Amino acid sequence: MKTSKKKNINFILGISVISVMALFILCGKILPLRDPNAIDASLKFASPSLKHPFGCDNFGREILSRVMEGSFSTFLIALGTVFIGTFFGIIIGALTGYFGGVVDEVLMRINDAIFAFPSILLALLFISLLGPGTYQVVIALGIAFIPSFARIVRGEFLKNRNMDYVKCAKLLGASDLRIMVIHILPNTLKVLLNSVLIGFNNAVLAEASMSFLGIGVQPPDPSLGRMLSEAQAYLFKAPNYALFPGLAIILMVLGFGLLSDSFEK
Amino acid sequence: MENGVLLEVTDLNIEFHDHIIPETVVYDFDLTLREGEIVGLVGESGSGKSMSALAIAGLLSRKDMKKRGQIYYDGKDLLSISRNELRSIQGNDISMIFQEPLTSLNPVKKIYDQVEEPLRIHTELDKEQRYEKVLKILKEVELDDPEHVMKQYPHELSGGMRQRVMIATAMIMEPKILIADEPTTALDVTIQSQIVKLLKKLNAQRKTAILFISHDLSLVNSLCERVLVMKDGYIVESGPTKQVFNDPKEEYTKKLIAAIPKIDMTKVYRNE
Repeated sequence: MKTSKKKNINFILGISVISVMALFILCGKILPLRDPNAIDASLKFASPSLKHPFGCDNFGREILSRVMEGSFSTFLIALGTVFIGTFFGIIIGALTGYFGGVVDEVLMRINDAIFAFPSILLALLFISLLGPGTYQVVIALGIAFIPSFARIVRGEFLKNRNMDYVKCAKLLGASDLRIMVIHILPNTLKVLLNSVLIGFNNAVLAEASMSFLGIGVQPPDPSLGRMLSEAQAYLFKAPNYALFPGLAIILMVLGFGLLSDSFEK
Repeated sequence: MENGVLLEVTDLNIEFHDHIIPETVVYDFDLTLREGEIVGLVGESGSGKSMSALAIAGLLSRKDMKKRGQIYYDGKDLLSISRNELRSIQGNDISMIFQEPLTSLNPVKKIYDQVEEPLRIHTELDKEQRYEKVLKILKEVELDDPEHVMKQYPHELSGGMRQRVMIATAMIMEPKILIADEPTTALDVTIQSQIVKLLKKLNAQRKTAILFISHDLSLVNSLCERVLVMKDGYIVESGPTKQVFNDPKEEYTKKLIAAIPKIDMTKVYRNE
């Protein structure tokens, strides 16, 4: 009873934090704020005020609208990354888990090889091949995320393939594809949902770190990681410059973290 | 095939090849199943009953197991036909129900979708026709309030209801052969007798041949016309149920029969 209540609180908190972030991003799209890329030398390092709630940065750009826009692109990149990772992860995991044998051996050893590299390093490798940019980051991170999803899905398929209900479906004459998609896949969703949420968090952090390193979203377009890395130099002069992008990252990760916690057993 | 023989299994041997040393689990299994007949298959755990049944149903992996012998159904040897041909027979002509109805049902799919599954695979019926058929079969397996049960998930049903749903799924294509692998083991005694009566009814109405696997001898005695007794992969004795039970030839069969509790369950089941 106690645990279920706690779970519920996590769920409510998570949903609220995510809603706040979503609303924040949406406001950036709707409200007539200053162009995030507009430079105004007279506003250089302006402190937070009613007119500029988050203050302005070293080029006199509005931090509020930059954080909003940056959160939006981070969100999109994380979404794209998780989508690529989950999509191909499911295909690979399903094939290897369901059929086993040679397919399993070959694909999983490739998977292991990719898994052996830290995902950031792997993403760096793909960036160096594809060149920096928003779409490239999505593809690079997406590929780096495939192995972990593939492994999770494979485990679930392996567990389910010998269950009686799969035997029954086989006996009713269902084809392998039908069994995989219609029978087993819905049974993996519980586990998958959790890993998607955790994966989303990792993707947000990975994108921020890549932008921090300067290989993600390209300037002058705003990105949370890039803002943090620029703010570094002015940490004492304008702490608000680092504070708000950092806060946005924290909230995003916290929201999805709480949500995934609430779905755990 | 001559005089209503549906299925003829001859010299079936099953070997496991997933370890270094091959292991044989079924030796020289013979079985003839005629139209509308109920045949019992009894034996202790690990005697090869289920393995033989799974082989007949075509459910054994083709990779790790070697099967020798023939399983003739409708002039075709089920062991040598292609996967696709086998699939058109599975569910259509040969169906199977399992011991544990909860694990046999997909936990995330509603009852309606599960019972409807064979229709989607084997027929071209449209939505309404499928609905009609599902409703009809759910009524036939004597589920109360089938319209409501359809919309439920397996975990919402009781064990007996689940097994009825399983039977409905297995029977919806009106198969010629139903393999029942210990269908009542996981159920309590009153539900057991209901399920057995239901199987009897379906057998009588539709002329479905049933291969009834069980280690409950009194059940087999009341239900089956013929019985096969298995031990360690061999069929040790076979014949009409009455003959086997009244005058067992083998020491093992005698022991099995001696192990039946003394309450005369046959009367309970036969009082219809």
